Formats: sequence, structure tokens, C-alpha cells
Amino acid sequence: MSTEEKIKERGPWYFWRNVIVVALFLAAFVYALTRINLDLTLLAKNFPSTIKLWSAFAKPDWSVLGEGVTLLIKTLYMAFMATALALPFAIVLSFLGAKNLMQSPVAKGIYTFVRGFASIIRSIQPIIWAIIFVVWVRTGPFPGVLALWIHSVADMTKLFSERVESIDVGPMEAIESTGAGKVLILIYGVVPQIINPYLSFTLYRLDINVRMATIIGIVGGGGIGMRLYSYIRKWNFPKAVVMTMLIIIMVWGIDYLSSRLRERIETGGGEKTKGFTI
Amino acid sequence: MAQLEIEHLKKVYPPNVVALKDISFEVEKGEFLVVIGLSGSGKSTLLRCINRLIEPTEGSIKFEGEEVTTASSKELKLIREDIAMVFQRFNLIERSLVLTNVLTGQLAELSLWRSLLGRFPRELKERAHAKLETVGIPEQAFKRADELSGGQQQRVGIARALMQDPKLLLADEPVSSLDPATSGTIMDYLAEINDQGKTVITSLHFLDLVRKYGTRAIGLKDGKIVYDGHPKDIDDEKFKEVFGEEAEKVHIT
Repeated sequence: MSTEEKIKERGPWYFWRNVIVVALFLAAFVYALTRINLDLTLLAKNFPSTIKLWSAFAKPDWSVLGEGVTLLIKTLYMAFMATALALPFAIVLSFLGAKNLMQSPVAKGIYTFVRGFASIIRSIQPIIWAIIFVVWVRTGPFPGVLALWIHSVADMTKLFSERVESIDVGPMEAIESTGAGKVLILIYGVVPQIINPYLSFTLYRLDINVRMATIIGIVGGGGIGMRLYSYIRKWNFPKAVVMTMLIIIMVWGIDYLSSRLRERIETGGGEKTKGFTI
Repeated sequence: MAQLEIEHLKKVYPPNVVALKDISFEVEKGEFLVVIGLSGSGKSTLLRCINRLIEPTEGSIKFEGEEVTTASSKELKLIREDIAMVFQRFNLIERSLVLTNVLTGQLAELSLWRSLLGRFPRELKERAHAKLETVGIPEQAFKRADELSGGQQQRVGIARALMQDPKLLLADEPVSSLDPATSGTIMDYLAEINDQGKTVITSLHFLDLVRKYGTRAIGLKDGKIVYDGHPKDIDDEKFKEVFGEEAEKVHIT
């Protein structure tokens, strides 16, 4: 049977299946509309109540600039600490969580545990972790760092492990054949293949942590986000606006720096375009 | 005593794929032994059992009188220092310098801290440069390995093998990824190494290369030896026995 005939053969079924899928999707959408009140008139009716907020953008209260910058730097420290402290844990766990390196029955058990642990931790958002740690150790930067740290460990472990799983075993085999031991095989056969991706993922994660560090402040995780939220609650918009602007500048700056650096790492100093992108 | 003695070697890949069944042969020092056979006939497995990159299931392999199959990991490392290997896909560390790749041939003899820090003694570096000169690419030492062409990469592979100063060189389809002209150059280097008294065991596909370079050929089919003799004695009938009836079509000479 030719491909064409095969397509003809299953044509009607394919057609009706697609119709059913689209119909189900539309039904779900309409049902959701009836359950959630999307009252667009509210947007227009209540617009005047936001005027105070918009006007604050025109008249920011710069008296809090110094305080804001200090908090901004503190927030950067939080993100940096969380990433730096997560890195060694993630490096070790990534080898234990790489299927291709964990072959014996015991090793397979460790692999399953590490990857399972990582995906459970990862599936809980940093902001939820922040709530847990705020309850645990009270508000401030400490629970914020803990929240970012635990999520970073899990996230980096997963990304790193997947990278280790996709390495070329050829160089490892070659180095093993010279009579070198396991440590040397790792250093010369594995590390050169993963060092740049690891660096790149770490920068990427730092980028995420800077953004997250501002958000988790809202639930008491310290840093500039916490102050921003307290100004908003007091309806002190001119001060909140200054904090917001600072956050935007920082997030944009780190995002730009991180992507430029990653670009350089991934292309091996700008010579060759090889490897991967996130 | 032959340099390499293989007796009743058997390899079964789990769950039950039999790659080698009851292989026995001896190799004398200085031979240029070519293993021929179709893909999947067990050539790579056989070569990798000799240095235990692949763990044999049954049988005995003796290299210079020492049993390889039961060697402890420490003993095995010492045996491996005398057996170098060249690979079909070169197996270089692509992101590292050519020179570093050549130097990895010597890792086992370095102290651990030197290896960890990548601090190779000067005499070793000079040797590595010399080996690159032997294979005709001294000017490529400070390039990244993945910047080189296939033929050049295989020369780096040979230089790395030479760093070990091996007694036996295993070459697993060393020219299968290369064009015919480059293949000849690479085979010439293997022949040169062989002329210096080192034993070479290699797997090849093309009969003309087998005839030109081999002092002996072993034909593998479905994990069994179906031919063992001089390459020149492989006539069309023998050839068909090793490669099957279809072989005539790919018989390039």
C-alpha cells in the first residue's frame, strides 16, 4: 500500500477525530465562560479608581530611591546566594540523576530517587516554598533565599542531569581504554562536554532567581518585593512606583547580561555555533 | 607463547543476543591482523573484549601471559596501558585542544593531582608534539579538536594511541568514516606502527585494504570465525562465505 493510499484509508477517521477535538475544546471554552464572570464593563466603570495609580507614575516619590537601591542590591544578593548555594548540590545530584551513569541496580534506585525528588520539588513554585519557609523561619531574606535555593537545586539538577544523559560516550570510552580510572574519565571525558552547558544553565537560573526574588517578597520573603508590597497595601503609590521602576531596570539588566554571557559561552567565545540553546 | 591468546570467548548481550560464540585464536607479536565481516558480525565486540571495554561473558583472554578477563581493576588498568585503541568515530574530546587530546593517552601514568589540574610535565608535552609530527599534523596542536577534518581527527586519535607506547594497537574500523584517499594515509600510519614491531588488530570493510595491509585475516560471521588465514588467500568463494551471497555487489577492489 502506498503512502497516499494509507492517507486515503484513514482519511475519514482523521477528519472526524479532528472535528471532535475542536468541538470538545470549544465546548470547554464556552462552559468556562459561563462559570467565570468576565464582566468587561467593570474595566470601564471602575477606571477612575486607578487614576491615583497612574498619576503616581508621573510623580514618583524619589525620597525612597536610596532605600530602594539598597533593597535592590539586597535582592540581588538573595538571588546570587540562592544560585551559588544550589550549584554544588545540583552538580553532585546531576551525576546521581543521570541514567547513563547510573547502571547498577543500586545506582538505578538512587537515580529514580534523585529524579523523583527533583521533579516533586520543582513542581512546587518558589512562591509556595517562600510561604512554607516564612511560616518556618519568619519573614525576611532568609526564607526567601531558602525558597529560591530549594527550587534551584531541583531545577538545576534536572537540567544538568539531562545534559549528562546526552553526552557522547566516545571520549569516555577512549580515555577508559588508556587505563585511566573513573575520576579521570569523569574529568577528561565528561567535564569538557558539560562545563559550558552547566555554566550557561547556572546563569539562566540566576536570571530566574532575580525575577523570583522580587516576587517572593510579596509573601514575606524579604528584599525589594516585600517593601513594594507594603507600599501598595498602604496605597502609597508614588513610593511603590519607584520600587517598580527599580525592579524593571534590574530584571531587564540581568536578563540582558545573562543572555549575552550565555551566548558567548554557548558559541565557545564567538568562534563556532555549536551545542544548544535554552 | 603468543602475545594474545583467546580461548572459547563468548559474549551475550542481555537479555539473550549472542554477539560472539566460542571464539578462539592466537596472535603473535608483530602481526597485522585484520578482522573482516558484516556489520553486526561481532567485530567491534571482539576488539572491545580484548581490553574489556566490553565485559566478556565466558572464555579466556591472555595478553602477554596475563589473564585479562579476571584481572582486578588495578591490574586491568596496567594491561590497558599496553593496549591502545583507535576508534571509528575518533572519540576525541571535541572541545579540547588537539594537544590535550594527545596527552590524554598518557593520563594513567600521571599523578592524580597533575591530571586533575591538567598540568602536564614539559617532557610529556614535547612527546605529544612529536607524536603529532609523526602523524603529519604538528601545526594543528593548538586548534580545537572539532575544528579538524575527519582524517586529521583520526590522526589525532593515532597520536593519542602512540602516546601510550603500546605493545598492541586495536583499531575499530579506523577508516570507515573517511574517504578512500584519507583512508590510505591512515592505513599507512598503522602499517608504519606495525613495522616498528607493534601488533595491530583492526577491523576493515574493504577487501583491497585487507589484502594490502594485513598479514592475516579473520572472517567473522554471526559471532563465529569462518575464515582464518592469509588475506591473499581469500578468493571469491571465501569472500562470499564471510559476507554472504549479496556481497558481490559491494565487492570494490
